[in-house]
Amino acid sequence: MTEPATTTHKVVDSRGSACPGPITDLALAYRRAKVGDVIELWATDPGVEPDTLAWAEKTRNRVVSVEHRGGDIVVVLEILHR
Amino acid sequence: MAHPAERILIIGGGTGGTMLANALSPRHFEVTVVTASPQHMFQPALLYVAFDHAGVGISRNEAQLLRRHVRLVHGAVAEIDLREKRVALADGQPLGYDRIVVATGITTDPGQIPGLQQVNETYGDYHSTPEQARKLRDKFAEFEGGTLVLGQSSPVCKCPPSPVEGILLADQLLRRRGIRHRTRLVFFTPYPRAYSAAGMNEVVEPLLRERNIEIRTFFDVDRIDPDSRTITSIEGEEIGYDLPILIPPFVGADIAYTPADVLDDDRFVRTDRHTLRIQGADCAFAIGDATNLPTSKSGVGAHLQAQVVARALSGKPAEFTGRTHCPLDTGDGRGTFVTGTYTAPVVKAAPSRTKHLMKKTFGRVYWMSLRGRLEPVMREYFRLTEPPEAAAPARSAPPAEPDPERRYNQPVEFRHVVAASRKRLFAVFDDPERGVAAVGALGAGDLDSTRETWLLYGEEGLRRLDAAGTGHGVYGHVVRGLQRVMSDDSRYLDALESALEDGALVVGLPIADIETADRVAGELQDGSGHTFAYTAHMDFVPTAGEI
Repeated sequence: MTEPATTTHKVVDSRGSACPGPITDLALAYRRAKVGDVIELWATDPGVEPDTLAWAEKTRNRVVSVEHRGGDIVVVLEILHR
Repeated sequence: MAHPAERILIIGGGTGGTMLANALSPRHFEVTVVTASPQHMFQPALLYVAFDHAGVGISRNEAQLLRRHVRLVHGAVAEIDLREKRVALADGQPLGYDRIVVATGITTDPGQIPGLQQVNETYGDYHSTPEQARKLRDKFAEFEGGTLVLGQSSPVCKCPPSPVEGILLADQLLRRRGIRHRTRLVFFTPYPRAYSAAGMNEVVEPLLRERNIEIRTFFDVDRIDPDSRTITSIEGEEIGYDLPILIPPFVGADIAYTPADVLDDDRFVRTDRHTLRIQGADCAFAIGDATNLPTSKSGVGAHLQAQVVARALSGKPAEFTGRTHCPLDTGDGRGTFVTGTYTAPVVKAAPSRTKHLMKKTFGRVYWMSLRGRLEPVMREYFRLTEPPEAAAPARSAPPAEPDPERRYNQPVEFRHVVAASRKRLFAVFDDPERGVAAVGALGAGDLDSTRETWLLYGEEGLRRLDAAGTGHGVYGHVVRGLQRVMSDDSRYLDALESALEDGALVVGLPIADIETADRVAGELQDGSGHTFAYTAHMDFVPTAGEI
């Protein structure tokens, strides 16, 4: 992997939480993240997709991917600014 | 031979801990509550201390709120060893248990944000103590205009409606003081919208815009500079202030756990969202704000979770659904409720005067509800206000406001006799028409023909019941009578008022004696096939005088 050894890949499981559960979990994870970290957010609330896209645009972080896996939505974010 | 009572140790004497202790039967359990403070504070009152100059009756002595069989221990808990089933107080006193329930709540932690400690000490807040709320009240009173900024300084907030309530009440008071025109109101939030839950945002955001309150979304506080009076977000945006009303971050109790990993990074207890068991621990539960449950940190949450754990401890099936039902005061005598579950998204519910009245009513009945006396009424209330389950996908189409006519289509006619006192039997009917029919079907000998039958319904009924006692004439007669009847305990009045606000019909039947009351109550029950807590609520006080 090209990532520096000090960055982390954090999986945040917000499955089963209704709005605003996933965005709360993301905001909390972001507070503890640093540049280069990856946050992988798992959710079932469909609102997570527009909310995280808007969040990433506002915070100038990068949405690496949004995947629908069965009933789960997996959003992978790379922290570029913190 | 009787089984020895199981030792239940409840850590924390807030809403959840107190309700749970009172809900456990002394026949099966030996209940101990450990609380750091001898005083029990009604936390929602802090909002009104800060913005409405209220201050009476915020706190009561915890010892008086617990049923007699509950043992109360004062002391700070230092360690909880879930493996050895052992708790140590700060003074070293050990406590053992068979099963433990953690209900330790959360406290404000301004030290997490650079600069916030100083701002918090100077300006106060409405989420920690009455002293802090009074400090904020005084600073607000001194404020003569400029920029007032209000918001939560971290994503987790005790009572999620409280930030919006704060800014709306501030707006109302500034208008009243005639200085709104020279005040810029700024509301910030770390969320993508003014209210974190999308359904309720459809109500809140237009309201804020209508009141000319600026909304700054995605504003997650990084630091505050008290010298330049500037709040800076993680993204580097800034807001200047003259009066900062900042809700501090929250943190769980400072208790050392074994195993340590039952706490998450914010010291919230990792709790199974349905069973409320502490993850990875046997014989241990957590309720209320102390948990990491993905639901609102609120009194109503603690209330419902306490009931779930009471059932679970008693060996009955019990599951927490994530239910919330948080009142939101929108100012100007109106309010609404934020209602949802883990799976039912928060519904859009328009503010109304009745809902505001209900918030106030809940405040009045709080101390009674801790004792569990109102539980039959509250259970029914929560059932009737259950939010509709979302069809998948969960949030694509927020459900419309619940149809107020809905309950009339359901075969629930008779709820329960709420009170029988001073030769009058009170009954509540969800279906007003059925209620009138049921009363009409009573035999001629059932009622005292020399006195009138009271049929209370809707706004008119609320006016007649008027808890504030402002009614006059024929209504005043009713009100005064009710107040006299219930002067020793206002729970009946509050319960009846709550039922009226809920759209139910309240009937007050003039009855001559206890035997007739028994028979009439039985007839009303037979008419619908529903059971009700008759004897539990019966308090028939014979009196010589007429009301």
